Amino acid sequence: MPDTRIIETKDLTCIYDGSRSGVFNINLCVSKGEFIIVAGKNGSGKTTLFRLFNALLTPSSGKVLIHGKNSVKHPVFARRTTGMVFQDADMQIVGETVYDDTAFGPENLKLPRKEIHHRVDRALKKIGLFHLKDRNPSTLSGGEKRRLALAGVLSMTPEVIVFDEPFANLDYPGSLELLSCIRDLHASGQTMIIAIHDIEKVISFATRMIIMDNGKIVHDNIPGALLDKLTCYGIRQPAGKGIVPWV
Amino acid sequence: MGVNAFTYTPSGSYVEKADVRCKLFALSLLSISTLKAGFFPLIMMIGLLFLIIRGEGKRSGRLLMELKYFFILLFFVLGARALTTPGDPLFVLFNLEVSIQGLKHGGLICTRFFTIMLMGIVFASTTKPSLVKSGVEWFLKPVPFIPEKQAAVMIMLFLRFMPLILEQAKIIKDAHKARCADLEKNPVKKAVRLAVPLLKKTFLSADQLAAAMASRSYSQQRTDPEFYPSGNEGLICVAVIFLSALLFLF
Repeated sequence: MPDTRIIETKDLTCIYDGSRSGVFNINLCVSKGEFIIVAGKNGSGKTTLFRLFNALLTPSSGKVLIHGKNSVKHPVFARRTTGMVFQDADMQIVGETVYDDTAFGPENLKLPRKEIHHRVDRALKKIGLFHLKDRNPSTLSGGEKRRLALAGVLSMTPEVIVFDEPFANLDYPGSLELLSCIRDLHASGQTMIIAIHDIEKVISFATRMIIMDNGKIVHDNIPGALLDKLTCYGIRQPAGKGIVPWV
Repeated sequence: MGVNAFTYTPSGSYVEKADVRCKLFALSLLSISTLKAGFFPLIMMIGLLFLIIRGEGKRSGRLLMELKYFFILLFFVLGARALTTPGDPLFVLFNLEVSIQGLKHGGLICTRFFTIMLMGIVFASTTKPSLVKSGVEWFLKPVPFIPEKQAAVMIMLFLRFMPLILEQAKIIKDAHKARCADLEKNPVKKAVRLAVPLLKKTFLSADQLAAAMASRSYSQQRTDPEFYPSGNEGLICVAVIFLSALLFLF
């Protein structure tokens, strides 16, 4: 059988200088096609874990392997394989127009201009922003900005997309737009990991849920098996009975 | 974000379609020539620039209104020249002589500044900011010891984040006003109260921005910029050289 593992962590620990926070002894494996929710209250270590996947932080001990390669030794490979959408879209958008911003990643990879045009067009069409390609990002709505941040990652054709609180500070229409993109990406077989407080928006798509607390993974199972454990860790249970689509 | 005289507005005009490198060359050459030009060619040049500005769909009256603070600066330049240049006295103001030669010289300098300002407006309003970045990168490429790609990214970040920082400053000011901070009359205290949270927020944002850029594999080895020549650049360059010669000689 082919090896479907993309990300693997081995005894991964990362402690911030001068504090006791971080992540401790994380062992997990992310396989192709999975949709994983990482849930936990503020400070539980979700963002730190994602930054380690993206080689933005260096582990204090242990390692992150991307297709068997150590992310610290191969940061560009790690970032090409694992695209990260940050919580604050405004800080992720660097281009003067929607098009320029989407092209930023492929330009960094020094791809030929023709390939960049192809990738940018495809990413913008996929998330429904192609008609806004000449707009200044500062004139976009919150939902559109979040989708633009996603387009910027998609144009780098990552195997895994990591979302850090994608619905934070989004109004209802913005959340619906983003959710529709996430649903379409999931349907196309994209591997995704989402850190989220409000799990009811995406729980119906999830194939797996990880609960983090104080920098440790305390539960890792299918979502249905963890519903009654959520409130113990400061996570709100989905409204209604069981796992149902949000809209 | 408000639209002003410098804001790029697509018009499909001859000037807008020209390659940014050609426009940067024209702007540089004409600006240098303007510094040597006399009154008559300057007036002709201003007339030509207003025609171009009108062709771009901008109203001259509104443009002049938007430049009111620039005119105040020119007024001070004119005053300083008139009062400090020795020559035939025109009249005496508070024991200070205003000379005819000073007024003429000051007027000439102000007209030159105004001409360069109009050229800047034509350039900025007909050129996409992202293309300005590409043009600067192209011109810096042969200059040794200057990392042109880094300079281009700095321009891009400046264009992108300056409005965000100004917006943040406005939010902080409003938050202060909401707690009656406008009753404080000491400008130093006011500035400190604004600067501390603004700098804190800006540094935090810079940290996040660096992480976001790293996650998108930012490096100085990037794809070269793309240019869009219209095919009329040769003609424009010849016209600009001819115009510069006229400005320089007369």
